[in-house]
Amino acid sequence: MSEQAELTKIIDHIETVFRGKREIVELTLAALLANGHVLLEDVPGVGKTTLALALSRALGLDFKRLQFTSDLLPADILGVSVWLADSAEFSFRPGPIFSNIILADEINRTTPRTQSALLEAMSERRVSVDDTTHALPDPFLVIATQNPLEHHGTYPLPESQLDRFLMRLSIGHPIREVELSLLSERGSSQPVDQLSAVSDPEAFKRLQKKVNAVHLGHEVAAYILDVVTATRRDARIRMGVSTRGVLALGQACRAWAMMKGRDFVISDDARKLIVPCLSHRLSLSGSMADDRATAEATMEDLASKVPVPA
Amino acid sequence: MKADRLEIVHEWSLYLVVLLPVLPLIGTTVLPYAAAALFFAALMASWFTHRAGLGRKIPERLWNVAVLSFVGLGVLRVVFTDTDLLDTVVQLLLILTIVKLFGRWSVRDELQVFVLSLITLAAATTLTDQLVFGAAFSAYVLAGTFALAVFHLRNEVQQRPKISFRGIPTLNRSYALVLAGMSAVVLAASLLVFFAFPRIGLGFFAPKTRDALQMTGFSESVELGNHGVIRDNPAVVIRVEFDERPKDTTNMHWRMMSFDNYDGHSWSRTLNSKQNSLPRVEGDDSRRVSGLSTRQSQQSLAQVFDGSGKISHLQVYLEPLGTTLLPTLWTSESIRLGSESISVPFGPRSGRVERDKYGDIHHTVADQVGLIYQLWAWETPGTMPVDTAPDAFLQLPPLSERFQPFADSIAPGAQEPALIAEGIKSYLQQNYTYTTDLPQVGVSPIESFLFETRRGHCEYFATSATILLRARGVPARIVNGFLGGSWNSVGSFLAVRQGDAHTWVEYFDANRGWVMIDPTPASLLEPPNAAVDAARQYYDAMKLFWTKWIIEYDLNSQLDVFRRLATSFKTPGTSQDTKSEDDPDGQPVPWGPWVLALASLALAWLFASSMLKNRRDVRWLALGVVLIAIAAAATGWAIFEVTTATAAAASALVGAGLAWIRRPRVSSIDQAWFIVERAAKAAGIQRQSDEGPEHFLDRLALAVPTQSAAIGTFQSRYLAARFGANSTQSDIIEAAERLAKSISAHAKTGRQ
Repeated sequence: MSEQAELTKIIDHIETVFRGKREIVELTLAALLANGHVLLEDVPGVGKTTLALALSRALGLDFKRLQFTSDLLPADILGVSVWLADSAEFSFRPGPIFSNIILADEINRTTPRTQSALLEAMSERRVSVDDTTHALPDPFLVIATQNPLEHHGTYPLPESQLDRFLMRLSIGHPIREVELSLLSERGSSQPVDQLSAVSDPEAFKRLQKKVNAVHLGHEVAAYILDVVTATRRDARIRMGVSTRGVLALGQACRAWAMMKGRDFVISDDARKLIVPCLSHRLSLSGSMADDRATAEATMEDLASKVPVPA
Repeated sequence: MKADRLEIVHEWSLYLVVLLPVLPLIGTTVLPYAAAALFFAALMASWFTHRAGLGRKIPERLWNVAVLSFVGLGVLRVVFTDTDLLDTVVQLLLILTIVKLFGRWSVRDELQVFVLSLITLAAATTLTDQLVFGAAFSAYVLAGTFALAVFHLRNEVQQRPKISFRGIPTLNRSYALVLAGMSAVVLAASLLVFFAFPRIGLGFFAPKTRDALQMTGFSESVELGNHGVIRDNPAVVIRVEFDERPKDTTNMHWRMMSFDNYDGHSWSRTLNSKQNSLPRVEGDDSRRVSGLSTRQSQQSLAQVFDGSGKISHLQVYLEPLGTTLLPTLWTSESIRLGSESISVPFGPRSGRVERDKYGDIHHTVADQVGLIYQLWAWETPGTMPVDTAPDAFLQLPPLSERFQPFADSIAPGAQEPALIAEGIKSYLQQNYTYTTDLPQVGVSPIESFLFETRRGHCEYFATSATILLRARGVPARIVNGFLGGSWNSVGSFLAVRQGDAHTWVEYFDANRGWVMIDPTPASLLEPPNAAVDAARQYYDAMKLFWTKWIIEYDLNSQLDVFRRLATSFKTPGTSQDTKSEDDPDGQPVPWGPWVLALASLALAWLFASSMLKNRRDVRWLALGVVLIAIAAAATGWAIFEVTTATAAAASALVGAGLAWIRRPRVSSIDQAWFIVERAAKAAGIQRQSDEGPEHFLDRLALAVPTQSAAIGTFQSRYLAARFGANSTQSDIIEAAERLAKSISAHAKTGRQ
């Protein structure tokens, strides 16, 4: 079965429990295929956990949920070495991070120390505890969430940390029809818990490897760089997108192209993925509000002014 | 962004802008009430059909047929009935507007509606000048500005639907108020320009802004016995252009006004001065010399006057003098302006020029107006039978007893008026001195002058001569006017100043009529200050330029200029400019052929560039260039000769060659995309600059559903060729052309 068919099957399957937001599902899946982590910034109760859980169940991957609080310690995430009395040695008990898909809920509510522990693990894909390095499972993907409205007692992620996320997405409320059907159909059970798997980790790893084989032509690359240069030059933006961001966008484009059944990236893909992939990497200058809406609007405005190669 | 509200406001303002120019036309011949009702019904219908999107259902061909049939009907009506052409044109405009309102589906169409409404407004200006038009006009300026702003805003919003950050203005009350305020400012500014800008037209000169000169030099009365030095007033009164610079201008007498009655201190006019008393010359009407706006040929002049020698033609520019008198030139004896009056045939400056019993010329245009007129002067005047002079010109003031013997003692024995006059003149010139520093005079200024002081200015000389002549029985009168003038080398004209005011004498000879004589001896003029004079000359030349080319630049002047231009285009060096004195020996460079060559080069280059830019077929381009070359050659051969023709054709080819060298280089895949984009644009789908090809072709497939399969195939082929790893571009252009053709074919038949 072609990659596109496989992926479409997965998406359709997820849509049976997570309705009405197909594009969000596609984007999240593309990010995961590109081996990147996703930041979901949303008000509570729109389905972030459902999405993460549905993804993991459909892909047949392990799922762990981490609820971040302000008194969470790194050891609570990474794991701890315990002294075993009978064998007189330390034994490492892996923390919840040792899983395929992690839902890091309210990442901005925990201390920077714990944040950096998680983020270091995200970027290196290994954990160092007491001089030993433990590799994290493969695939390893983090879906972190933030509540954009709550600012009391939060530690907002700095730009350098935000840069580690491939995409920032927002689910938003479902459309009226979907919400109506949810109301009328849903019983007390959560169908997502019973979602069957249509893929397995090996298949997923294979797909991830195929992403690297997608061709990103010179013109699309030039277009991406044009947009990025524009961010670096714009007066509203203090510091533009970094090279990590450029590469991230490239990978996301490849994943997206594969999802659409092509083995080459077209400029449409790049245009579509600019806002999700780059808007959280901008640091806005001056008095502009530092929220998602402004950043996305600025990014969209910039992108609309750069001519797309046809 | 409340896009719906914006759309509603836009619709309302568009319809308002369409409606406003029509309102003043209701009830006139253009739009009788029945037709107006029909028009409104059509407007309402178009509102609803556009809302429902029905415009796309009707094929464009039907509209074109409807419009063409209306045009045909209109032509028939104009030709066979006596409907006014302008009415029909305006009706056609309204029909076009309706058609466009029904069938608008792009930005360009709505812009056309705006343009049509503007043209209708312009047409309405010629049809009605009622107050309702003024109101409609002001309302149109306000509404039009507002509507265009909203139109532009709506287009921007439509093009950028995804922008949603704070800060973009929603069309709420404050925004609308600001827009309305801007429209009001625009209206106020236009009104200001409308009233303040100088009106240029067929002599539409508003004289209110020009004050009449202070007539301190020239006076309409002559009063002797004034003390003091008469200052030399440099204000220019008359500017005269000659065909050729005259050799001597110091003796030119510009005659303005004459007087008959001297009471011992001042001259006055007692005759009823507005009667035409000159006899009529037999002959036909061709003797009418129209001197104020057309140049009559000199044949009519020859029929009137029988002078001899050369006739010089003078173009006179007169400043407003606060009087209706017209200066004429009296060299030896100037032309007499005919027994008929000279008339200006039309315009607000129309009037007549009349000659009164004093021989003075009055014009009947407002007396605050400066005038432009022409004079023809004979070198040697002819004679014209005139009747006798009225006795008023023999009137004598109270004089002492010594006067009459004294008068008889000058040129004694002479009987002929001419001899008497010459004698008096030479006597005065030899025995009396000219001064502007007037001495004190006694009870009778003339007798003081003649017997005691022996010095005075021209008024004394002239009065004395007149009284002496009258005492000898020769009817005489004094004439006020100007003498000479200074030549302005900057503008090549003669400037006659107030300081040149002068008084001289005319006496009556039964054989010859009134003859001029100037008894004042020539005074030594101070040489003018060179620097001041140069500056003054420049300033004055500029004033003449302004009067001639801007204020008085009317249709006739324009036609004249074009005629001269055409002549010099064809045969260089034979133009009627007086510039031949600059270059008497050198051959003037023929500029006609050069202009033709450059024009054909430019035209060919522009044509070729545009064809290449739009990636048209090279065969059409070659054909077009060849046609241009042939046309240039034909023009060259018709106007000039063979060499010019070949040169013109060659330059056309050169132009095309230049465009070819600088043509934009495109790859075949770029060409293919361009072809498709062009076809899509014709179908109404225009790619935005940040729109990718896949999205664009999807949109195109939606717009032309019958071709969606073909578009889909092309889409995959094109994307693979463009962005794929191994891009094979074989026959992509042909595929593009096929698709383009089918798109345009299907787009034409119906926008379904």
